[in-house]
Amino acid sequence: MHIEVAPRRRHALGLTPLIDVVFNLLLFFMLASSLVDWRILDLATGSSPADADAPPAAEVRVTDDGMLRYEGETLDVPSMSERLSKELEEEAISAVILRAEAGVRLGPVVGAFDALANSGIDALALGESGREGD
Amino acid sequence: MLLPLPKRRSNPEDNVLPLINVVFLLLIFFMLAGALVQEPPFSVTPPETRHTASGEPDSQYLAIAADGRLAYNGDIIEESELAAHLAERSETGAPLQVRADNELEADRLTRLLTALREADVAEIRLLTTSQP
Repeated sequence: MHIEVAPRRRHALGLTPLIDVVFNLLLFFMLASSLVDWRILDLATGSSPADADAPPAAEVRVTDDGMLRYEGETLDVPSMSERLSKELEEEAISAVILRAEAGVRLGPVVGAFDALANSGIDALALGESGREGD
Repeated sequence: MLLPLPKRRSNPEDNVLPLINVVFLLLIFFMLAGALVQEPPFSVTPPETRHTASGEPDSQYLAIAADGRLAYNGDIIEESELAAHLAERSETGAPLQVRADNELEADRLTRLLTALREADVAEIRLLTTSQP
């Protein structure tokens, strides 16, 4: 009996299944992963208890348009950070507490926090707005 | 002058090789550059900051929608359940990543910070995007 020998395949490994798998993996990673450049802003959840002898903390309110109000004066962020830095240096205040006015969104508050922290004010905290007018 | 004609490629699979190369490079790019973190069940537009350092998102995070709804690790939760979920964290007391919406009332976040302090979270990491 004569049995025909099967002709040898030229490629031991077919490329098509490999391409299929790689393509599926590519689609998965393209759809499932996010390429957002995240930034991190550290916020303390509670303030340490204030020293009784220490000067008081400055309570600065953030208004809806991103301005800062302190002791009845409304200034933009750079001028206010200048003033607060000076008062911190003179030890008239010991820390700065940012409080949002009623209805103010997170965006301007976070922006003001970021700018003040960057201008060298380390003792900075977010506070509950609580009562209006203090 | 007589130039030799380019040789005809005999194997059709040879034409696919450049395609595979490109697809493979794209695959490696997305595997390395992308972060596989579960997205919150509602849309969250993070606030923008200019001076903060970049960081990697955690798989464990708290998301807050603009209307105040909460989600922990991608599942919507009630505020009353928050402490129980936080107690299950692998490292309790470590900074908790928070994704809050730009349009959320700032007061809602500060009230939540008080609740987080009671749940032994000393510090949160607010995720923001960089301002162009």
